[in-house]
Amino acid sequence: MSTDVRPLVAVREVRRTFGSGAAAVHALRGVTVDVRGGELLALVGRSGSGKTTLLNVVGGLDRPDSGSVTIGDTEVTELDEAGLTRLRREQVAFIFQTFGLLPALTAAENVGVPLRLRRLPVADREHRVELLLDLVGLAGHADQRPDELSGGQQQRVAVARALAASPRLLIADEPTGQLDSETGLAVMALIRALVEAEGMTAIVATHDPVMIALADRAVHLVDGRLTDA
Amino acid sequence: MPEAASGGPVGGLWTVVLRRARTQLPLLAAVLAALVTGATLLGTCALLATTAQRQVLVTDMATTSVGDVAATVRVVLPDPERAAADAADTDPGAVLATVSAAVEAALAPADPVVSAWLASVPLRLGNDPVDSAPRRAYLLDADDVEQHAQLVSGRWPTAATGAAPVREVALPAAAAAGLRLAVGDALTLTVESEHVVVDVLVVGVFSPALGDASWARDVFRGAGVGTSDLIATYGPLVVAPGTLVASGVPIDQINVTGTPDLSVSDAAGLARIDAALAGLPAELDGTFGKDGPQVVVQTPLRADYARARTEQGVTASGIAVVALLGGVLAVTTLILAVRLLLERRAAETALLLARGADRRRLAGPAAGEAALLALVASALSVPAALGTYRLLARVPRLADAGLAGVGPTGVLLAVAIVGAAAPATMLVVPVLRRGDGPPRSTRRAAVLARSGADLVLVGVAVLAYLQLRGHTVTTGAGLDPVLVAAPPAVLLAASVVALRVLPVLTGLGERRARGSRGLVTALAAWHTSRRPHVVSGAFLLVLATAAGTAALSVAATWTDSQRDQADAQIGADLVVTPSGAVDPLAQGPSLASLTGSLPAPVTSRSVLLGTHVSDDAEGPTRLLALDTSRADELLRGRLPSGASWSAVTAGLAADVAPGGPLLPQGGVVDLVVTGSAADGTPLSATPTLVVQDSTGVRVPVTGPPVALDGAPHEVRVDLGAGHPVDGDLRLVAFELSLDVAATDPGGDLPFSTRVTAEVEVLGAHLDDDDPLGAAGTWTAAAGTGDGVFSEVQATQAATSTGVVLRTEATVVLVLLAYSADDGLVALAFPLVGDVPVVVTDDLADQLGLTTGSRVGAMLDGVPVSFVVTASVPYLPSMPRGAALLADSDVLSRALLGQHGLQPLTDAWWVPDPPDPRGAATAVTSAQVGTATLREARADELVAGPLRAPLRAVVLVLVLAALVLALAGTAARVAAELDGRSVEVARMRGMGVPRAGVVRALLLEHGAVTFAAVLTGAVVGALSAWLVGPLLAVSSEGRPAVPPATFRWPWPAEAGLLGALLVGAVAVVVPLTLTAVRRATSAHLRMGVAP
Repeated sequence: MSTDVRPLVAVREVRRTFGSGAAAVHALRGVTVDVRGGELLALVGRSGSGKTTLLNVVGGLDRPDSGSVTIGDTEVTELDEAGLTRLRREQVAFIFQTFGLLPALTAAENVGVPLRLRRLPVADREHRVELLLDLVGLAGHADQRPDELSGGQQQRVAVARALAASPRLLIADEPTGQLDSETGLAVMALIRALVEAEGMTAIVATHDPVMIALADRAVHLVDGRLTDA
Repeated sequence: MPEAASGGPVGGLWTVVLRRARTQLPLLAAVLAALVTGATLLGTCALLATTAQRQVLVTDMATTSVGDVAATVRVVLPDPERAAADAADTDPGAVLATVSAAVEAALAPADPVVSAWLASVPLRLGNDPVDSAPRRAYLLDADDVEQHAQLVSGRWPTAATGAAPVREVALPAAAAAGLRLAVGDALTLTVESEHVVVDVLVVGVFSPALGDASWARDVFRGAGVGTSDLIATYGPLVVAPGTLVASGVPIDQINVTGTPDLSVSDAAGLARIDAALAGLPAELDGTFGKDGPQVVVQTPLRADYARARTEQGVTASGIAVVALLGGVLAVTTLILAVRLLLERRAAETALLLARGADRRRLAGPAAGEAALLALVASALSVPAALGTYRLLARVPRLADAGLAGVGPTGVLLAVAIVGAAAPATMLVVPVLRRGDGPPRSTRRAAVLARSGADLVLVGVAVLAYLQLRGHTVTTGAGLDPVLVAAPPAVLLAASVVALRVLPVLTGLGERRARGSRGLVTALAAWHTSRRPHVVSGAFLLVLATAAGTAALSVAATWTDSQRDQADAQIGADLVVTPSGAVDPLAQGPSLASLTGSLPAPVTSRSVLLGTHVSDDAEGPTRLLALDTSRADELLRGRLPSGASWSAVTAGLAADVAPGGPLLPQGGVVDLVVTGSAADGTPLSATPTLVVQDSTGVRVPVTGPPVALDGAPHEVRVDLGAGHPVDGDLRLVAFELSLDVAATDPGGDLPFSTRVTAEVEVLGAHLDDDDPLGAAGTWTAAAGTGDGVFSEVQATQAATSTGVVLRTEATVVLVLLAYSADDGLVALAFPLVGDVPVVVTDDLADQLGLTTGSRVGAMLDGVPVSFVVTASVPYLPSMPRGAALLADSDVLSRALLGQHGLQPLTDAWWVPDPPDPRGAATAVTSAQVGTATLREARADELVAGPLRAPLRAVVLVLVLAALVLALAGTAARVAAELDGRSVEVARMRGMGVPRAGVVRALLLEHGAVTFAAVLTGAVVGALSAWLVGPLLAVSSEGRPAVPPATFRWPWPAEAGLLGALLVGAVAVVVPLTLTAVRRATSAHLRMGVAP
C-alpha cells in the first residue's frame, strides 16, 4: 500500500442538487473526503444516499453545484468538456454495476477501446489486450460478445478495459451489484490485487460487508453527507 | 400500475395508453406518416384511374377531326313499284325524318348538327353533241353544301316560287366543263321511267372543298363527273335545300350525317353515344322492315372510341402497377415503423402480461389506437390526394390533356379509408400473437423459413417475368393482370435478394476495421455489420430507391419507345398524301417550295403475291417503294440490329440511271409525229409520254391521236396546269397506242404490216453522258402475250430542232382490233427481270422466303417478279404484317416493261424539313394534300391526352418513394439512436470525445444509407432493364415495333439519388447530434441486464 502523504483525490465541500423547489433532491450536501494514492476506499451507503453522484462528480461525469475536486494536480471542477473527456480517457477509469460493455463488440474489442483512443499501433494494442484478458482470466473468451459471457465474465472484461489505459484512479460503482456473492468476491479480490500490484487508487461504491472488508478504508454516505471522513 | 389481471378498470389501461402515446409521439408520427403517404398515393392513383381517365378521354375525343367523328347513315330507297314495302318506307320525306331523328337521338349527348343530302336517280340529258354519247346528270338536295364548296361564278340556287317550272341549280366546275355549261344556261332532264321532265337553269358554278370529308356522301365524291351503267354522268346539280322531295323526281339515296361536338360531352355521354351508334343499324332495320330501305351506318367514331378505350386500358394497367408498388412501399414503411414501436413497447407489454393482463384486453387499446390512427390518416389523405391531383393538373403538359381539379369522389373516399385502415391493423396483430418472441431454437427455423420465402418470391418473380415476355396486353378498357403484377414482383424479389449483398459489403468494412488504429471507423464498421435489423432496416431504403429509379428508367424507356414507334408508324419526317388538286408533275416542286426540302415520291399500296391470300390479321401484303439511294435520308425507324436502312436496301437500286431526252422548259411538250404503215393501212397513233422529274416521279401524259399517214403532224402534250413544273424533265418511256382508222369500209385488213413512226420532241436535247450511248437504242417493252407487236426497234437521235424517237414494229392488224393492249411501248433503260426487294419477317415466315427466293405478284393488274435480298422485322410506315420494300425506279421500270404506265405515287415523303410544323401547315393550306408529321405523332404517343395519367402517376410514385424512404429512415434512425443512448453515454464515459461519437454514428448510418441507396439503384436498374422494354407496349397494348430498348436517364436518376442521399443526411445528422447531446451520465444508470 502506497504511503504517499498527499491525497491523490481531494474532494472539498462538494454539493450537488437535482431539480428545484420542493422537488429538489440534495444528492450531496458539502462532502469533503481525501483518497490517498494506492488506497482502496469503500464508499458505503444505501441506495439513494448519493454514492453514484459523488463518484460521477469525482470522475468528471457530472459537475457539482459548488465545491472542488482535485485529482493529483488537476482541478477537475475547473475543466471544460474537452478536459473532462481527456481526464476520463487518461487518468480515470470507470466500472459500472451494469458492466458498461458495448454489446456489439467482442471482449477483446471492448478492452481495446481505450487503446484505440490512444491510437496505439495495432500490434501493441493486440498484445496489451491479450495480456489484460489473461490477467483477468479470460484469455479464452476474447472473441465472445457480452451476451455470450456470464455476469462475472462481463465484469472482468470491464475491469480489463478499465486497466487498459493504465489509469491513476479506478472508480467502481457497485461492481458486484449484479453478481452472486461468490463471483462478486472474486471480482472484488481482483480489484484488490490490481490496486496492490499496479499501485492504482480505487474508489468503490458498495453496501456489501464482504466487499467493505477488503477495502483499506470505508466512508459512509448518508443522505448526501459523509458520516466518517 | 393498473390491476389488469383482475379485470380492473379499463380506464387505467387507457391512461397508460395515452401517456405512452405522448412519450412515443415520434414513432407514432412515423406510423401516421406511413399511413397518410400510402393512403394518399393510393387515393391519387384512384383519381388518376377514374377521374383523370374520364377527363382525358373527353379531351382526346374532342380533338379528333370532324371527319373522324361524324356518323353517316346512307339510305337506299326501295323501288316503290317492286318492293312490297309500306308506303312510309318508300316516302323519302318520311324516311328522312325517321333517320334524322334516329341520328340526332344517338348523338344527343354531344349537341349534334344533323345534315341531310338527298341524291336523285340519274336523269337523262341529251346526247353529247360532239360524239353523240349518251349523258346523264343527277340532282342533289343538300342542306349545308355551301359550307363545303366555294362558288366560282354565279350564286347558290333558291327555291322556285309560284308556278315557275324551272328549277335553279348550281353544278361543279368539272361538270360545267364537261357539259360545256355556264351560268345562265338551261337544260332539260328526263326521268324516263317516270316520264318526268325537269327543266333546270344554271345559276352557279362551284368548286368542292378539297379534302372535305363531307363529299364522301356524294356519288362521285365531288369529282363532278363519273360513269353510271357505263354512261357518262355529271353532277351533282345542286338544287335549293328542301325542294327535291316535293319535286316528284325519284330519289335514289339519302345520306344523313350527324356531327357531334364532343367537347360538350362527358365520358358517360361518349359511352352512351358509342352504345347508341352500335345499335343504330338494328334500330333502323327494325323500324323499316325487311322490304324497306337499305340502311348502312358509317362512322369512324366507334373505332376511334374503341381505340381510345383500349389505350386507356393500357394506361389503367400502368396506374395499377404504380399503385401496387406504392402500396408495397407504404406497407414496408409501416412494417418498419410498427416494428420499432413494438420493440419500444416490448418491455411494458411483457410486464403487463406478467401482471396477468389478457392479450385480448391488450388488443382493445391497440385496436383503438389503430382506429384513431386510421381515422386521422384517412382524414388527412383525402385532401392530400386532392391537393396532389390539383398540383398535377397544373403541370403544363398535363393540364393540356384536360386534367382539372376535382372534389372528393366516392372512389377516393373508399380507397383512402381502406388504404389507411387495412395497414393500421398491423398494430393489433402482434399484440394478439402468443409468446414474447421465438425461443432460440426456432430462430434458426425462422432464418431458414425466411430463406425459403425469398426463394418462393424469386420463383414467382421469374414466372411473372417469363409471362410478361410472351404476353400481349389484354385489349379493352380493363386491367391486364400480368402487366400489373409482374413489375412489382420482379422489383420486390430483386430487392430481397440484394439485401443478401449488404452483409457482404459490411463484412468488408469490418475486416478493414480490424487492422485500423483509430476508434471511430472501427466502431462504425462493427455496428454496421453486427447490429440486428441493420439489413432489414435498410430494406425500405433499398426498395424505395429501386422503385424510384426503376420508375424513372421505365418512363424514359417508354418515352423513347413511343418515339421509335412513331418513327415506324409514319416512316418519314413528313408524309403528304396528295389531294389531287395539284397535277402530279407539279406536286414535287410545290412540296419542295413549301417545305424547303426535296421530297421523294413513294408507292404504298396492297399487292397480290402469287396465289397467296394473306391470312395475316394485319391485312393484305403491302408494297413500299421509294428512292433507296436516299434511304438513310428518307426512312425513319430504328432497326433492332442497329443496321442502317441504306445497308439493308443496298443493291435494290438500279446501277445505271435511265437515258432519254431532256424536255424543254415549260408546261407543254410539242411533238411532230410522222408515221405510216408499209402497205398504206390507215392507222392512227395516240402518243403517251412517260415523263420523269428531278424527284424521280414518273407521270404518263397523253396527247391527242394523230393519223399515221406519212405526213408530219404537230401535237401538243400538256404536262399539267395550275402550277409551274420543274425544268429538269426527262422522257424515259413512251407509248404509241395504235388504232385502225375507220376509213376503208369496204376493204379487208391485211394480216400484218410494218409500221414506222417518228416522234420528234421539239426543243429537247440529249445528255452528253446519256446511258443509251451513241447508238441511242431504246428497249421495247415486253409483249403482253397477245402477240400484237413484234420485231420492235426504237432509237433516239438529236436533230437541229430537238430529239427524234424512231420506232418500227410489225403489227398484227387482226389482233390489234381485239387486243386491249394496243400500245407500242419503248423504254430508255434495259428491261428489268426480277425486282429486288426487302421483305418483312412476317412475310418471309408466311411464304417461307429466304434470301434469293422469287415470288410473282400482281400490282394493279400488271405482273411483276420479286427476288428477296434481305428480311427485316418491319418496314417504315408498315410496322406490322407482311410487306415488301423495293426501289421505286426499278419497280417502275419493271412495270413499264409490262406496259404498266399508271403512276405509282401514293404519297410524298419529305425528309428533315427545316420547320416541320410550318411545312405541314403550308402543305395543308395550299391544298396539296394531307400532311402527317412524325413529330406530331410522337408527341401524341408521348404526351397525348390519353397518356397524361401515366406520366402523372410516375411523378407521384417517385415523390412517394422519396417521402417514404426519408420518413422510414428518420423513424429507424431515431428509434435506433434512442435505444443506444446508454451505449453513447458509456462511450462518453470512457473518454470518447463527443465529436468522435458523432462521427462514428454518422459514419455508421451513412454507410448503411449509401450502401442501401447504391444497392437500390442497382436493383432499380436491373429491374428496369428486365421489364422496362416489355412494358413499353403500343397504344393498343401490343409489343412495340421496333422493340423497346432500355434507357437509364442519368440526369433524372442522379437527381433522385442525390435527393435521397441529401435527404438522408438532412434527417440523420440532426437526429444524431440530438441523441449524443441527450446522452448524459443519467443514462449510465440504465443498463440492460444480460
